[in-house]
Amino acid sequence: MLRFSTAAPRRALIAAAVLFLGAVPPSAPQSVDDAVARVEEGLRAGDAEAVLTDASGRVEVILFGQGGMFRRAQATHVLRDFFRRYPPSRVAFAEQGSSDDGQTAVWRYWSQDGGAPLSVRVLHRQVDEETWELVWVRIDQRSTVRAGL
Amino acid sequence: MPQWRPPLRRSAVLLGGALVLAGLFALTEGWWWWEATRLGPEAAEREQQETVRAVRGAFDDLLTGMQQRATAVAAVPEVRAALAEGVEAPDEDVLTAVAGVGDADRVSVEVVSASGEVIAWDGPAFPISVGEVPDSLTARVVVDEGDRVAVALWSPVVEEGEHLGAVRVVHLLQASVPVRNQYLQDYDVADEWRARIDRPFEVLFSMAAADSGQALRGPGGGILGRVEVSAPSVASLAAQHERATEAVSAFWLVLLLGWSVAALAAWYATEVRRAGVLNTRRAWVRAGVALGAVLAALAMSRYALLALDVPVRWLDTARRPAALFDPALLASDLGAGALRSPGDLALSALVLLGGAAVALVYALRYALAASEGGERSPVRLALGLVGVTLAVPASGWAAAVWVRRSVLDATIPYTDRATPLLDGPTLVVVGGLAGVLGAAVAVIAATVLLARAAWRTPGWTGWVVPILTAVGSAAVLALAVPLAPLLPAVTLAAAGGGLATILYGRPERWVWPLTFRGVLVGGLVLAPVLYGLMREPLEERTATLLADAAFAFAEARDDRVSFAVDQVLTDARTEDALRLVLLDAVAEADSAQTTGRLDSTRLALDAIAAGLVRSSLLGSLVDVATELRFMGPAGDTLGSYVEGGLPPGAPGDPLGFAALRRRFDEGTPASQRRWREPVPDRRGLFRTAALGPLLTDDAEAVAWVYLLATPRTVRFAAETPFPRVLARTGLFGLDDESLSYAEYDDGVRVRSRGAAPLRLNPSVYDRLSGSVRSLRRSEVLGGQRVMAYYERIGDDARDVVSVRAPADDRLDVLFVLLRLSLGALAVGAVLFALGVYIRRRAGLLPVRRTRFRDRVLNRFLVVGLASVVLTGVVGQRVIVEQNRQSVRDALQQRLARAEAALVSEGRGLDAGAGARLDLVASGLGTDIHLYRGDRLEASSRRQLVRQRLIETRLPGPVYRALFLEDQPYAFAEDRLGTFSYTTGYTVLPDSAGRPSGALAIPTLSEQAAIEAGQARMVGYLFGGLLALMAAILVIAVVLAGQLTRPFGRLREGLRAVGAGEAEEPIPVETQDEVGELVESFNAMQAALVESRRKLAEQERELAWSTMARQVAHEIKNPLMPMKLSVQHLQRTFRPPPDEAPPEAVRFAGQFERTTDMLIDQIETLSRIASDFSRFASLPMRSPETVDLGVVTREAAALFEGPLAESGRADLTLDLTDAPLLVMADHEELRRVFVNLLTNALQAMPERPEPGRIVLATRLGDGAAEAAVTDDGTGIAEEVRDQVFQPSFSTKTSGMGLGLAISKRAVEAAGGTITFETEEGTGTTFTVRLPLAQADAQGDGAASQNPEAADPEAASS
Repeated sequence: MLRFSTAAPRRALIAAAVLFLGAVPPSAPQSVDDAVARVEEGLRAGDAEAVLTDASGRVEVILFGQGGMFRRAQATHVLRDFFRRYPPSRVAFAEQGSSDDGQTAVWRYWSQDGGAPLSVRVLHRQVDEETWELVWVRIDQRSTVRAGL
Repeated sequence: MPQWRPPLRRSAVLLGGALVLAGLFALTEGWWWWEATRLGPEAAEREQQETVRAVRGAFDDLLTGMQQRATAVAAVPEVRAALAEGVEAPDEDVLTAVAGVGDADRVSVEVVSASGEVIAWDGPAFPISVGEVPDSLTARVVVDEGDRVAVALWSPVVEEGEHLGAVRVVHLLQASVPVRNQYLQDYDVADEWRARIDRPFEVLFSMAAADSGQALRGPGGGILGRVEVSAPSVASLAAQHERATEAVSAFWLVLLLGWSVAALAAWYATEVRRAGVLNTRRAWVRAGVALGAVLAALAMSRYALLALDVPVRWLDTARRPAALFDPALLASDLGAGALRSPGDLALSALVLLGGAAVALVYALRYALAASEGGERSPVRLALGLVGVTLAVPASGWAAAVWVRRSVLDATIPYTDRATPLLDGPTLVVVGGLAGVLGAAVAVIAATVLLARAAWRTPGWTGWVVPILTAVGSAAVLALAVPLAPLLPAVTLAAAGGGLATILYGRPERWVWPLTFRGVLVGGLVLAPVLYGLMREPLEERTATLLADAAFAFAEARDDRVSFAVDQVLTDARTEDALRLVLLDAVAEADSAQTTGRLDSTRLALDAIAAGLVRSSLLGSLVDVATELRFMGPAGDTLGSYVEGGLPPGAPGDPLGFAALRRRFDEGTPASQRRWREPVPDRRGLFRTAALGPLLTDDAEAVAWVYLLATPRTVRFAAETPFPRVLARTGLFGLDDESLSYAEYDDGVRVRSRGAAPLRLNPSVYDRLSGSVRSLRRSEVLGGQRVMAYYERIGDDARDVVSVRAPADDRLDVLFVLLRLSLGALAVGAVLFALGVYIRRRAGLLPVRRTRFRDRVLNRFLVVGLASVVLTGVVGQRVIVEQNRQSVRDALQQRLARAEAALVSEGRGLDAGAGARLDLVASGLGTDIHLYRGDRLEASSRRQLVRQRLIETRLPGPVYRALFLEDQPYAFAEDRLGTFSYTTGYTVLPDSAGRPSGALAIPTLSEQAAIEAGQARMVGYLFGGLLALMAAILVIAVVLAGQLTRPFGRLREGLRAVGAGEAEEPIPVETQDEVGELVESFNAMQAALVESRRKLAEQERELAWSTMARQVAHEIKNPLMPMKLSVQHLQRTFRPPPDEAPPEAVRFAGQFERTTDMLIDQIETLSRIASDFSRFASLPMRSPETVDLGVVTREAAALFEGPLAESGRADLTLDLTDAPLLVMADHEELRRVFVNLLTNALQAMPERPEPGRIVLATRLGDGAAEAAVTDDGTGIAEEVRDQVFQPSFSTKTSGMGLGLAISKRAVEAAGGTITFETEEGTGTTFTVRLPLAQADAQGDGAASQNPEAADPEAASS
């Protein structure tokens, strides 16, 4: 174990730590709106990492009804592949609401290739008072005819 | 010093090729720039028109295909005949004729009579939207109750101008599904067109007039739909053009990359070959630099491909990525994108393997050059060992990390037991991982080779330290880093060491890893290593999924429940009848009308509530108790359904409703039409509560649907299970039906789903009471091994949830090993094909010479593998068939029970049958459909019928079998999307016994369990087959060795015979043809040895004879004069008188002694010379019939004198009385026995007591025998072979010719002479002579002896 022969270095270290911590602003409590905004920015930029900023180690990604629970690294590649296939042209916020699992947000997503807009839905779950975690991302293409639900 | 000339011509070709590719790339880019400048509004308009034209073309193609199909059916004679006859009911012949013409999913074909009756069909049912059957080619758009859109094409059937009817072909155009998952997806025919039409477009199929879009018209010119194509902007056109150009440019760049790498590889090959020739330090450094350049180029090329999105870029034509490059299957951030998809992993592994192979070539060349000589350098030695110490753990660690991440960052079902064959992506990943392990083995082999080269010790001793270092450092890695288990790590290192020993110093074996056996061995070694590395991550992945499932279970979040609850709320909202009854109920409640009317309304609402629940998927969830209430605005219950329990009109849960209503008002936006959340019940256990408003046309909430879904423990599985096909995607990634859940309160189970122990294991309880929040362990539940995951919910172990999943047993492990082996061998097959090319180029193929053992072994292996494959294929087929039959038997029984239940409830297919169906279905725990005629009358799965997931018409072949062929049962393979299941049908007769309806039971709900059971059987089969394959491999090696061992010995024996070496007889191990062959060889070898011995003996005797004649002649001639001279001297010498001086007396004495001695010696010499002469001479024998007893007696008489003189032995005669007549030379035979007796006497040692010599004769088996036995010293072991050789003698005097002469004499008489001796005990010489025949008397025997006629011998 490293030991100092005098107390001077220790005091200097403590002072430096106090200065450093003082310089770093304390993280502000995060609202779900911030988390939703980050996802929207990611969608506009076609940036998979940005969309998954608030995802924890595992996140569910469903594209057109297929996908599953992925580790974040895999989910990033899945979304990156999606953005490569459907580069964003326009993203419009549709609705935001609550559900039993957390807060949902829905966007309409137009690809550069044209065609009907896609529906992008995400769910954020509140982990604690200051943290919202991205639970799932679901992207669907609504067909011309809808039946059932 | 050797010279080296680099190949300049090749360099020029490589440079020229690179320049050409670079030029093509520049041309492509320039063309794109030139084209981009020409893009303008006209191009956009042209693009728009082309898109519309393309869509119209696709639609026309669709209609044309339908028309062709209709025309083909209309041309069928049976169809025309039935229509001409005016058949108005389903017809057997026509049904048979159209069977298989349609498509179960999307295309139906119907034969319709002129009056509109469908007399035959195949495919799904769509409504007929025309009043009369068209008499001209007509196309219409039809929409069914499930909102499926289709186009129907009517093709009239006309016979001699008479309209007989029509063939209707219907093609599905658009349909949506209630839930999208791996089985079910929306369908839009335009998606198929989009695959070949680049520009975006939208298609709306409708016959209604519309202002927008371009019309899609049918055969009669009627509008069937519209296509909308927005005019593309110039920018989007440019972007599209750029993407197309980029694909081409990427192609040139990839070629250029490949060319560059090939050029570097060629340079490296030149350098390493040059270094091998020159073998100087400078040359090896240059080769090392070239190696580094190739490796760097390979790595850069790989990342260049990733940057260029190749080959994904060229495969991006569909909405979903190509399966091999789908990151949803596998994607990891390891390696900066090198593992971003299964295909990318395989490509990266290929590059790794290539790099490792290149490095291995360097090491092999270096080791080969080093093996030719040089001094041992301690520095090099130390560097070599350090290299091994570093490279082996690094390779093992890297391989382990690759494997681990490929498991954890993947959803690939590595352990899927459905089939032993791997699907494409799994095969690619497993092959890639095997390639990574192969690369690790190659790197380890390379470092071991370099260390071995530094060692410079010949033989095996040089391998010990490098290989032990490799294995030891791998073991240290395994112990230090938990990533790589000990056994796989050590095996990997040992495999590397083994590969090094195989390849070391033998250029002809460098391609061994690419041979059949190399590939087989490689695959079978790497597969277990791969499994060893995958096992822990697989368990970890399962544990993570179990943790997800446990978390969801703990929070009472159940995707099945969520989905089903949403279904009920949606159905309630769209149920028009419900709204009317509710309005009545609310009004009655407000006006407090009579109780009777209120009760009738409530009863109606109760029935609707029950119908909503029972027809929904909630009715299929056996582990959920459902309570549904219609609540008035004031919170009063208007109607309800409580599953399994509460009495009608129970107050329900007004407080819960109020709380939920409050949260709905606070938290739900206007667009949201339902609220669902988990709420605790009185015991604190979570259940799902949901609330949805029932709105009037003015969007006013007239009432509320309040629903509670409470988890419960199932005791009897008497209800229909939840069908997997309807489960939402992403249900933990596990087979949810195989999971069992439980929640424990203070160690006691309070709720569960699936089998779970009643109490928590005390050790688990204790551990969770401490600092451990969760744990997983292997358990046995109901005799089956399961993996159990426990997680405590609070701060202590009071509340614990557990999830259990089936664990792999030994056969499962074998099955997984088989899958991995097949994956590795698939890669091996590619390597083998590559190896064939390389070996042909190297002149190693066709093989000039193969070992017989190898050929036998290869054939054993081929036969063994073929047997295993055949057994597997047949076995799997048998299992599938057996399973299919079992399913059909079970369905048959259920159908019988269902029919009996329906009949017992009423009168069969009466009006109330549909209402009773739910009860019967619930009682039997299965789904039931009821058909009246060919139409679906009722179903216990009304929800699925409404969603058109269940067809409303009997399949044509089933109708034919039940109604027209009077079959009691029929079965059909149905599909929901890609989910296949079986449906059993039975006919229901009417009161007159005629078929009037049908009962159907599908395996929809149990299909997953059926497939799981079948998969398990298949798993057992193939697990056993893998063990069999391993056994065959071992047995083949042993048997091939055993079978070919005699041939190897024969080969050695033949070689020894050829070389003239003496060989022991080959042991005969078998009693078959091979044994006979060995026996024949042994006999031949013995004959050869005997003839060689005789030849040598004859040569020796000839040499001795010649020499003896010479010696006898040269010695005898001077001896006689010498003797005569000496005797003359003696005679002439006068002895001195007595008075003579003493000197004269002494001289006289001396003279006498000397001359006596001289005469004595001369006589000795004369005798020796006589012996020689006798030996050399071939005397004129006079064979005659002599009595062996007489001869032996004469010899004994002659011997008595010397015997008595010596006093060293007593002679005993043991002669038979009977005459033993033999044909021999009397005198010669007597000398034989004199000689033998003399030898016996001389063999007597000095001892006080006289020895004993026995001369015996007897009549043997057709021969006369005489034996001379003494108890003398015996003959020493080492000289026994020389006893009959001429020079042999154990005596100090004589020339040792006696026995040689005796042997020659006996053999001349046609006999044999043998001896038995034991040192210190004595010797017996036995003479066997054939008995003389009566007619052989006289000189016959002499004439048979060629020696007797030898004139030279006779003269001597």
